[in-house]
Amino acid sequence: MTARITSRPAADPTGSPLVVVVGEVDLHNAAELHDALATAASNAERVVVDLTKTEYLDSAGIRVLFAHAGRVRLELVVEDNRIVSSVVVVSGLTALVDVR
Amino acid sequence: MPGKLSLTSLGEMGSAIAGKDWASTPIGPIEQWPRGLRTAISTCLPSRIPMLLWWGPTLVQLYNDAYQPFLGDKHPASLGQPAAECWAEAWHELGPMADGVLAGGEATYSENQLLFINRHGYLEETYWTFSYSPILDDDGAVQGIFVATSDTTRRVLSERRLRTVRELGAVSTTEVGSAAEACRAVLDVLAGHRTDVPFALAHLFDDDGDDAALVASYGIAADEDAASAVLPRALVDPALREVATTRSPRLISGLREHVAAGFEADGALGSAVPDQAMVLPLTASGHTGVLGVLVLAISPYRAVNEDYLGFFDLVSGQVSTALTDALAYVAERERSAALAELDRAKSDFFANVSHELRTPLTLIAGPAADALADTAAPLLPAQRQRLELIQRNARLLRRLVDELLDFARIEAGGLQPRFSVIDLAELTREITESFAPAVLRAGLGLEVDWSELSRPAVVDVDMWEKILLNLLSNAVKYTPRGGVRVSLAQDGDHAVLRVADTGVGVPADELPLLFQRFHRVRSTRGRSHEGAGIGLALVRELVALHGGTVSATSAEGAGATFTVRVPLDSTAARDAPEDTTADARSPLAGAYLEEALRWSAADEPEAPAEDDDADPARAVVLVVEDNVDMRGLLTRLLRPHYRVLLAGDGRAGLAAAREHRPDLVLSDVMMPELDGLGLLHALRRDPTTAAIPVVFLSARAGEDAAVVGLDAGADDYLPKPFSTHELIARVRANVELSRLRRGEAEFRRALVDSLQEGFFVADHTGAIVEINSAWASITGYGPESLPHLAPYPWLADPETRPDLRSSQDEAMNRLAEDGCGDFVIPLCHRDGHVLWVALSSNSIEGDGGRIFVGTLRDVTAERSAALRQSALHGFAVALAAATDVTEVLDAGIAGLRPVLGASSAVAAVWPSDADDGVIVGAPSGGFADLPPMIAAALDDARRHPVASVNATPGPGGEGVLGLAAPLDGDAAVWLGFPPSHSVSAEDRSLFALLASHLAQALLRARSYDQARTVALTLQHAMLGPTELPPGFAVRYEPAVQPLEVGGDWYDVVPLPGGRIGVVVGDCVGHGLAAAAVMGQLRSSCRALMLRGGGPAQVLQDLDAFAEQIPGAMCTTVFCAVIEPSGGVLRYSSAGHPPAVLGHAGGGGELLEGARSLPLGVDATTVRGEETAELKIGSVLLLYTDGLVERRGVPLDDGVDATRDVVASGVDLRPSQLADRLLAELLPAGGHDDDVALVVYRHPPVPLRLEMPGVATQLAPMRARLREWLAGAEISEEVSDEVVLAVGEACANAVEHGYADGRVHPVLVTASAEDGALELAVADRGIWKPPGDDPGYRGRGIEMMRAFMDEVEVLPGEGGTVVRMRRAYPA
Repeated sequence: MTARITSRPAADPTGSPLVVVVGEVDLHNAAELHDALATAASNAERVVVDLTKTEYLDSAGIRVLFAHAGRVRLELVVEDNRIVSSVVVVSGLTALVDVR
Repeated sequence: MPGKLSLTSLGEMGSAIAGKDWASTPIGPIEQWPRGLRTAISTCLPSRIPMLLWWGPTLVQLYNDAYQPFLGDKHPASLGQPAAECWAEAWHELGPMADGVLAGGEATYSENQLLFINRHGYLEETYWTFSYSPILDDDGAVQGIFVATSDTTRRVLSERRLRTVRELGAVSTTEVGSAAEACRAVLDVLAGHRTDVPFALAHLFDDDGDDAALVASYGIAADEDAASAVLPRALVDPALREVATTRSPRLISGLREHVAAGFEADGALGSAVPDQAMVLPLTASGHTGVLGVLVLAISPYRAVNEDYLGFFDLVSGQVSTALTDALAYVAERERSAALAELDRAKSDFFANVSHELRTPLTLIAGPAADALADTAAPLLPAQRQRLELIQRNARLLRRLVDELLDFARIEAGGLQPRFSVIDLAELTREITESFAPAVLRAGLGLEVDWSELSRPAVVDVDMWEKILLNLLSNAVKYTPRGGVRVSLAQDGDHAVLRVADTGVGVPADELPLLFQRFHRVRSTRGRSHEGAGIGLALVRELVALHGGTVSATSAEGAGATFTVRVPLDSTAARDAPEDTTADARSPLAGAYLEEALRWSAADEPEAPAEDDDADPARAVVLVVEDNVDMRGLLTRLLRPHYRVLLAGDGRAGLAAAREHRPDLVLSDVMMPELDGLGLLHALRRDPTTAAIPVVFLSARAGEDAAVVGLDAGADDYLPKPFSTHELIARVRANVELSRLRRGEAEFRRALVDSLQEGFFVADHTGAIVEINSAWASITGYGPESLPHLAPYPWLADPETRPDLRSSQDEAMNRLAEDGCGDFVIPLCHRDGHVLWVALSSNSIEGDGGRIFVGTLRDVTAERSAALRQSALHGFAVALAAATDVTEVLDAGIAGLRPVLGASSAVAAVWPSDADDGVIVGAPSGGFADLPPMIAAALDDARRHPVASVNATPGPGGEGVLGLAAPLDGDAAVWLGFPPSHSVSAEDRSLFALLASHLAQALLRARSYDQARTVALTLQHAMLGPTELPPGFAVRYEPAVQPLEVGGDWYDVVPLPGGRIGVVVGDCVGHGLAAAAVMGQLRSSCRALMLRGGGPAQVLQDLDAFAEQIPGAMCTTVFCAVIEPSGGVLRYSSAGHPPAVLGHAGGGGELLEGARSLPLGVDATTVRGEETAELKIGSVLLLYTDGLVERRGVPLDDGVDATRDVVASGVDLRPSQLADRLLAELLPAGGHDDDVALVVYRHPPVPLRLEMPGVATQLAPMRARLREWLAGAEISEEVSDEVVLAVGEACANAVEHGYADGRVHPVLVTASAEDGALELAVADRGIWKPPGDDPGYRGRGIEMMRAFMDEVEVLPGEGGTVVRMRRAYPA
């Protein structure tokens, strides 16, 4: 397990479900992220994904985020000057999701 | 013991024995002496204890050196002599003992045995302690006697003589009545010691000193005639005379034939007649001459020696003591006898004189009375006054004379009372009433209490009158206020008269003496000090004549009560004839009354009134006298010449003297209240009156009284009675003296007043009693307010100005303690302003204690000049230490505030294009936050020329709120003051001065800042490359701040072929000079390395350069060349500390090889070279000794510590390791040497990583890659991007690379070279280019392209290779 992904309904201050990703997300465990997002989005219009503790996020993870961005309103929380933030920006995901 | 006896080496006696012909003696020739004798001799001779051997039946003598002196003249004949011959005179004592020992008896022991031995030509009294021990042969037969002996004569004699002297000492304490008795007592003692003094004679000279009479003797014919018969005067007299003259003892000889007949031997020693005697002078302390002589015979059995003479000395001393005591006793006895005789004579004298005086007194009083009564030729008023004075005093004298006479008659039993039967109460009342006016005039109450007596009393009326009048006049005399109470009552058969007063009383210790003749109670508080002290004594005698008693009870200050008890009908009265002239009353009461009335007249002070014709030029004489008549007389005598002031007692006199400062005080000695001596002391104590001459007048005539007065400091002394001429002459002399003194004082006054400096005189209490006009103008306190008492008005208020007050107090205390000193202290002028004065004071011991004199100078201006100098100096020092603009301004305002007493200070430099400006002293913030008033003041000030000062006035124009001064066109300084602070002109100019100093300092700091900027730029150019190849970190810590260059340097030089040159060097010294050398060496070294030489070659070539560069000698250098590809390090050290090489996995080694001398020391040095292996991740540290060298710590310890830090930090990035080295090794308090260091981490060999092509292996792959990148000193940011790119490539390979469903390996390679990373991911699959859907499939390569500089996808036969390249900054 290279990442610990937790999903908690209505945990965000705004009342939306919150998915926290701690560790590295790659081809191997991108499905876990998919499942967590799917669960969170099942009865919510808006999902917050906390990527501030995410060490690594490759294109497999990006793909998962793209996939959900079409279905729910995704809001990503990233930390500036980290590789994950660069990846999110480079991937063009920012056009589809809210980043804060 | 060998058979041969070697005697010659055994002292003098050994030689004597060896040299003697023994063949003729009973013990035969020496060769035939038995072994026993030889053994005995060899024991005896070397010993230092006196030893004697007697050998053979005849006791032939042999002895050692120590024994020889005992023999005296007997030696040398005594050697080899039979003992009985040698000691013939004592053999009757010794022989039996020797025989006993020879006969086999026990050894003998005798202690202090008296033996008369003739060894010095006479039979001598000697004492010995000795033992005889037998010397036995092998058979136990006695061969001889061994005599161990010591001569104890001296000890025995000295003990005996000491006893004698002690006994003589006891004589001195015995009371002896005369010198002759003392001599006899002394001889009595000596007679008990005739062994030392066989006979003695004591002679005392008669009063003329001509003839010496024999007063005592023993041991020789008993009386003087016999003594002189046996001791011819011809022989003795010259000795007596000589001793009397020289006062030293003398020995006389040749007496034997003269005294033989008279000498009485006591037989203690023998019957020998003494031939010599010592003649000792008899002296006594306090007597200059020789009183007599003592002739002490010398024992015929002893020669006169030191000991004997010493004995006579001691005897002489003891006799003198005895004589002194005796004479003192005699003198004392004679003195008391003389006193008794004197007392008798005095009584007789009084009786005679009194009697003789009555006649002339009558002849004085009579004509005076006649003249006063003469109506035919009436007297002019002035004459009447004189005659009344005569009459009054003649009457007084008459009464005194009568009393004395009564006394004398009583003593002689000549005065017999004439008794009358009389109503004693009535008599007592009459007498009291007659005296009442005197009591009332004295302002006293008179209370009487008469009880009826049961019957008439029998008294002598005159005597009763004297008794009562004496008691009454006594009561009035000693009662200043209150009253007198007289009572008469009956107590059984006695009448009891009591006279009680509320006066000064009598001290308890005086009460018993009260009724003694001539005794006068010590009191100065009576109305008059006149009197002879016989009144009460007479009362006692008179009462006694009535068979009665008189007593007194009193307490000091609480009055006195005199009680007279007389029997109403005394035995004395019954026996005496009745006086029939009872009514004849004497005029006695009149005399008593008159006298007592005169005392009260003295009570009414005659004001020391100014005469009407007071001429201020005339000298003023103050007369202090309690006797009214005397006062009048003196006034009449002096008034024609002087202005006369009068005072009735010392107290009044003192007040008048203080008020009027007379030219002379003429004072009685004995006065009530304050006597003359008390007045004198008081006058002398007060500096204002101390110089007034005082002349005493006293009835107590005689030398002693004069001495007391003059001793006390009186200028002259005039005994009563005095003649008019004498009085005038003495007064004139003293007034002139006084005027002279006063003239001197005025001259001194003028002199002192002319002084520019303030002058003062203070007494011992610190009260300032004299000042001059300069003092008055300096302090504002003039002579009108003298004396100035401490605390002085010019002292600062301790509440408001504690600083001033403490310095004033300190000066006063030091002055009081040391008695002198120079001080600069603040004073508060009368008008309130503070000035500074230099006080210089000294003190002298005056009559009334220490007197201080001193001068005062206003040094306010000097002091502010000095303060300004010191402020300037302090300011300059503070500014000199400051190096940049901020520090200068900080130091400036810190210096300005205290000097000018400012409460706040702000300095500002306005912002410019280049910087934001500086504000110091403001609480916070920038220009916007400055209080508008200050900002405006500063802004205004900076537009003014330097050295101008602008003041911000307080509200309403009162005081100054602040001062501002420009520092430069763009800088100014502002000082704020507390409200109502006044700023003097001096303060302003001081501020201007200091501000211009500050301006200059600011200018300096600015140029310094510029210079430093240049220097820093320069040194950065010199220091070393700013761009380093990958894997390097460098640090440089100069010792001298703020300079950032020094003698140490480092260099990293990329060389052809991928090699890298690394150098660390250390020039001698720090600072710019060392930096200059360093720069040249660094450049040379770099050039040499680029030329391609190995480390050893470089250093060797550098030697040549070093010789050319002054100051380069002894530079140490560590030079290394790294070949990254081969992992080899070549190095050489020119006297430099070893480099450290740390290896991955732990451990560090010191590169200690190839070490040679520092540069320029020896041009012929051949430098060696060593190699070391660089393993994967190895860390190389080059450093200069500033890193490892610590005072007191061996260099090796520092090097080892460095190695340990490197070994434990191999995993760190080079930059982290460099920081850790500095943090851990440099002392926290700063370092005193430059430190340069270079850390190099050998990059890992290119990464080659094969991972199975499954997704689970992606994360471990990334971890390995990250580790490799970190080892290559790739930053985290670059590393993250590289990992992402490689991760995408690998994920692609895993996801898409395999068509056959089998797992194939994926190969990842990475290398870092020349600031760029080369990465490759190779798989066996076929790379799928991104399709139309950019949704996600093509995102991987986009990522790679986004983060890498170059991305190449190279599809190939066996699979696909993705190559990527990314440059990274060092």
